[in-house]
Parts: sequence; structure tokens; C-alpha cells
Amino acid sequence: MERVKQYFFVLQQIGYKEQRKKSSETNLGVVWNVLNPLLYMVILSTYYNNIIIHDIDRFPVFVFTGITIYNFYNSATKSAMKSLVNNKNLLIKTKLPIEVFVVNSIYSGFREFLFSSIALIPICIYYQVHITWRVIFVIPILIITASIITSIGRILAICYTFFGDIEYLYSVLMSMLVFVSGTFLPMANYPENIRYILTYNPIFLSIFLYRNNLMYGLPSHWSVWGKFLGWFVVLLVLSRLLFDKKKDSCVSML
Amino acid sequence: MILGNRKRRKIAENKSSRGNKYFKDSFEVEDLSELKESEEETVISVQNVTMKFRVATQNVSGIKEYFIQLLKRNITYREFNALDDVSFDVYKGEVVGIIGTNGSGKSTILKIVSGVLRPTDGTVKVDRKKVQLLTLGTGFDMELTGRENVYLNGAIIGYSREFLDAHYDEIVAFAELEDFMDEKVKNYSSGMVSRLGFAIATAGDAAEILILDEVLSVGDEFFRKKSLARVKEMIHGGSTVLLVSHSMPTIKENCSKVVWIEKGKLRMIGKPELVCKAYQQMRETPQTTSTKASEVS
Amino acid sequence: MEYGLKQYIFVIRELTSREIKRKYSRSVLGILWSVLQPLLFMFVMTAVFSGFTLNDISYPVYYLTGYTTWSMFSIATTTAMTAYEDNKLLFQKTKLPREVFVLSRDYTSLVNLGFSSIALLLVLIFFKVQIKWTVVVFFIDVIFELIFTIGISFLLATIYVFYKDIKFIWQNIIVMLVHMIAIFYPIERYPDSVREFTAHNPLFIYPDIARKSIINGTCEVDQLMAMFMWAIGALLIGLIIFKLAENSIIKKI
Repeated sequence: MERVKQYFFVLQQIGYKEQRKKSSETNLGVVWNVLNPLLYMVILSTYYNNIIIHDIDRFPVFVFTGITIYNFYNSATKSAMKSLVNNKNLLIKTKLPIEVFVVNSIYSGFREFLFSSIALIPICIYYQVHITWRVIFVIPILIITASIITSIGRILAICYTFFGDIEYLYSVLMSMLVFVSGTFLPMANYPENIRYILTYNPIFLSIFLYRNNLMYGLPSHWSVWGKFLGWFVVLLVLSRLLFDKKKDSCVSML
Repeated sequence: MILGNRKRRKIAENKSSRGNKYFKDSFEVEDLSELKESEEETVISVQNVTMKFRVATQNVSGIKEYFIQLLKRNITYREFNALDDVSFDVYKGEVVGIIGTNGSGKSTILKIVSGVLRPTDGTVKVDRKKVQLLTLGTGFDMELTGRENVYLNGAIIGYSREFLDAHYDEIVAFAELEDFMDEKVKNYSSGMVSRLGFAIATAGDAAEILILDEVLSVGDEFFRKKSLARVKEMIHGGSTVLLVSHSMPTIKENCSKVVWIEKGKLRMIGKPELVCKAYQQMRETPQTTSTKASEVS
Repeated sequence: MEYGLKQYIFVIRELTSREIKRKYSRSVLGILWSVLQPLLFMFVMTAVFSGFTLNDISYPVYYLTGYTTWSMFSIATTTAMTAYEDNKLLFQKTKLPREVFVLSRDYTSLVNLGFSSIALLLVLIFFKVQIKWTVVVFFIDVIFELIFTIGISFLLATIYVFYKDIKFIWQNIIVMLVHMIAIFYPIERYPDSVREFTAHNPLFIYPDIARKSIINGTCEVDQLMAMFMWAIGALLIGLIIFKLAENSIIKKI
């Protein structure tokens, strides 16, 4: 119990430090968190309105939900990637496992996600989205998503200490993934074979399940849950293995 | 150089008078080397520790280059022994110096003792909770204030919030930064930074095992006196100190025992004068071939 | 030291080669990546957007032409923005005309365009696109786009010295802009409300001229006029703002 308390204390302190650092670089910070998905929502729903076959009603809400989840993946993994290197002089001193820095990035990414989702409330009201009991599922969906992101973050953090250019390659990957995660383009438009591959994309799975249970109140096919949980388990195991194995050489490199 | 009889007598007198000074309650002692080992209780036990790393023979800085080299079959690894079968014990109340040329494994052994690295082979018996590591780069964040850094650093090195709340004033008082705690650390002088770092690491009774990485050789005279006095106080209270330094005078003045680690292997353990002398001799004559560890007392 | 035009060009080339060396330092791989990356995106976008069939132009060609032209602008502006700050030391200590820092970044982006157009060439050959004389217009278009870019780069670099937030803001603007200029699908499919607006957007005009001249073999005088005007306008504004602020920049840095 003591240990858990200490863990959270450390997390909070690191989070505070990172936030102060960020706010010294840009003054926008908090405002931008809420503004960004809203802006995207407006722009994307305007410009893609015509080409989206109109069985997506409430397209703006569709876009908003997609963008907030995507941003969570994007910013959390990117900051997790650099978390070990950026905190190298604290790494040696910490009594907790060095993972705590990665976890902190995810934790603040999650907070940003929640913050930006505040705007979801007025949007849902405006577009008359009917919330059903299925919205309960959003909680486990978000928790599993956070865990998937943490696993990815762990893997990236280790790789980044060895290969610096993974930062660039990963941002290229993420900018491609926007288009194949169902962020703002609905699946129906994609050709068959692409659609099949798409269903294995974890970002897509998160967004799909999130939308189904929040917006539409529809049950999701068991295969979707299957793949989602599959990613959760596989990534958890992989990241644990990699992290434990490479942790020591990592620390010595820093 | 042969010391004349007169000089030798003087040194002996000084030694005994310093001994007397110790048993008075003043902490004006000049060095720590005259302390007696209170109990033969082992506080740190390093047993046959080996640390192996797989290092690529090519310096690969990016993933793209990695794949090219892989295709060219240029990627080979060599096994690098940062530490090779190193063993030594540290008893309670000792001040142990660790010396060795650069890259010999000094920082590796520190990382292992403080728990950040796990050795490939061998064990280290130490109560990690009691270890406090003080390095030159204090890990302060320049954009935060002194107060915020106390909590950040304190949290990182394992103090709980309650502990920090209780000892906050004490820390500030030791660092003598009462009026500066709400200023950003980037405005501090280097002396202020080292004082604060030292204060945090030695707060309360938490640091039973203190590891000092080059810290005693920096700072102004005022800081050196103060930090030395504090370390002395802690030793008197039962703490143990591991001191890493390149400065022979610092080692000779303060340590009761010196461990010399050279290129991953334990070269020598013993009294400071002897080990340091051997070390300096090796530096001057690069063709030394002796690699056996020797106990000199 | 007198800075004649020759010296000026020499300095720009030296700075640029330093930038290029840094970017393509494992030279073969760097150049390869400049060719590969647009192709990679092209494959993904084709897969994604092939649901929306276009007239008779094949989608990959449409996309790649527009994207290559656009990315020169986006890369140039984002890298040139920090040009003054990155070269702080040189700025303070030498009598170099300050423009060269921004110019070298823009020039690097142009070089990058050159490499990416290898990819474009491959795609054009693969899809057997007939090249007409209008391809000359493409080269002219690139030059004017460069001028436009230089103007905007000066503006951004100057702002960045005083207001660091602009880097963050601009990065986000770039990401959003790319959806607004018919890179991913043609303007004909845009909703009526925004079509007018988009057609007058200079960042739409440059890629569009590129597409029309290479693929369609046509060119419109109106567009060419706009191309010209935007370039000159931006350059003038950029230079004026820079010259006005030059002294304050020196004090700030």
C-alpha cells in the first residue's frame, strides 16, 4: 500500500514537472487541447461532406470521437518514446522501476484526452446523440486502449534510446495511420481487401468500439472485441519482454 | 622520499590528537580517515558481480543504417565486460573510496549498488531503500522553483510526501536558501544548486548508505566544509559512505578503505595511501601487467 | 567584407550543403528515402481514396503530383522558421546578410523536391501519362512557388524569434491545410460552399497548375496570373517585414 502511494506521488510530481516544461514552451497548452479536435471536426466535416456516402449521420460527432482517440494514441506514444532519454539524470536516482516515466506520459495523455472530451458533451446534445446503457462499456474500452498505448510506449521508449531516427519514422507512420484508422473516413468507402486489413489496426478498433458504445449504442461483433483484446494481450507481453530484457543496456547507454 | 624521524613523530602526534578531537563533541575534524569501524556489520556485499553488455562493433546511430549494415552483414556484436567478477564488502560506518580510470566500471558498480542495473552474474546484498545516490548533475529541472524541485527530487529518490512535508524546513535550512525557494532553479548559482541537492539527499535519517559520485570535490570552500561536516554527522549516526572520485587528495583524506577497479576487474583493496600510490604508479608506467586482485592492509 | 552576388550564392550553397549533409548523411539512404516516402504515402492514399473514382486521371498520378508540389512548401516553411534561432551564433558573430539562413533552408527543400520528382517520374511512366509541351509550365510553377515560399518563410522566421508558439501553431495549420487544397481528391467534389474559397487559395493554385500542366496538358491564364501575383506579393511582404524587424531580431537573439 505504501509502495502504491509512493508510486502515485512520484507520478504526480513528474507529471507536474512535464506540464510546467510544456507551458514554458507554449502558452496555448490547455486551450489547444480542447480547440484542436473541435477545429478538426469543423474542417474535416466541411471538406469531406460531399464525398462521404451519407449513411453517416452526425458526421461531426463521428469525426470528433475519432480525432480525440487518435490524438490520444499519437501524443501519448510520442511523449512516451522520449520519456527515458529526456529524464536521464533522474533515471539513476529513482527507486521505482524506470517504467514510471513511460507511464507518466500515458497518464498525461489520458488526462488530455479526458479534457478534450469535455467538448463532447455540448456536441452530443446539439446533434441529439442518444446515449444508451452501452455507454458503460466505454470505461473498459478506454482502460484497454490506455494499456495498449502504454505497451506501445514502452517498446518505443526502448527503441528510441538505441535508434534516434525512430522518432521521424514513427511520425511518418502516424500521419499515414490517420487515414486508415477510421478517424474521419468511414469504412464503407474502402475496397474489400483494405477493409479487412483495416480491422486489425488497433487505433481503428479503439475508435470503432468507442463510437459503437458511445454514439450508436450498438453491440459490436465478437471478432472486433476479439482483435481488440488480442492486441491488448500481445502488446502487453511483448512490451514486458522487450523492456525487461533491454532495460539494463538501455540504462547503461544513457 | 624518506621522511625524517622528526616528521614521522609529528605525523603520529597529529594522528593521535585527531583521534582525541573525534571523541570530543566537536565536528571540526579535518578528515574522516581516523574513524574506527564500529561494528563489523556488512552493509553492502558485492559478490562475484559480472556485468556483460552486447555492444555492436559498428556505431549504428539510426534504424536505417542498422538495416543497411544488416544487409551487408556488417553487424557483429562483441561481448563487453563492464565488470568482471568483482567482490568486496562494505561495513557499517566505513567510508569506502572507489577509484579507477575512466571507463573502468565505476559508474556501473554504482548503478548496480543503487539498484538501477541488474548484474548479469553475481549478487549484491544491500538494502536499496536506504541507499541515496548523489551525483553531480542533480537532476533538478531548471524551470521549476526550488520548492518544487525538492518535492520532485524527493519523490524520485523515494521520500514520501509526509516525509518531505516534515523535513522541508530542515532541508531549506541546511541549504541556507530560505529566501530563494520560490525562485526558479535556473537563477541559482552552481553553489546553491549543489547545496540544495546535497540537502535533499541527506535529509533526515533516510540516507543510511550514501553514495557520492564526485560530489565532495566540487563547490566552494564553504560548501565543502559544510558537506563534509554533514557526512561526518551521518557517519556518527551510523551511515556508510561510498565515495567515487578522481581526486586522490579527496580519497586519501576521507576514506578508510579504497577499492580500485580497473577495466572491470578488481585490482586492489586496502588502505588509501597504498592503493592510491599503486594507482598513481600505474598511471605513470603504462606497461603494468599485474591483474591479480591483492589485499593490502 | 564585401558581399557581392557571387559570394552570396556561394554562402547559400555552403549552408545548404551542410543542411543536406545532415539530412542525407548516409547519402544513398537519405536520397532513397526522399523517393520512397512519397511513394509509400501514395500507395496508402490510393488504397484509401480509390473508392472515389475520378474522371480519367488515375488517382496515384493525381495525388503524387499535388503532394510533391505541396510538400516543398510545407517542408520549406517548417524548417525555415527556426533558421534564425538555429544559427544564432553565426547570426551574431558574422556580417552575413541574414537572409541566407532562411534561403538555405528553402533551397534544401527544393533539392528534396528534385529527388521526390524521381518518384513522380516513375509513376508517370508507369501510368503512361502523355507529356505535352505544357510540362514547361510545371517548372515555371515550381519557381514561382519557391518565391512564394521564400516570402512566407521570411515572415514565419521573423515571427518565430519573438513568439515561439508559432512553430506549434504552424505545424497544426499545415496538417489541417492539406485537407483544404484538393490534394486527396479533386476540387470538383468539394462542397459548393468552399469551392470558391479553395480555388483562390494560393496553396491550391500551385499544385493545381502542376497537375494541369503535367497530366492534362492544359494551362489557364488566370491561374498563371494568380501564381505570379501571389509569389511577388508574398515575397514583398516577407522581405519588408524582415527588414523592418531586422534590428529587433538582432537585439533579441
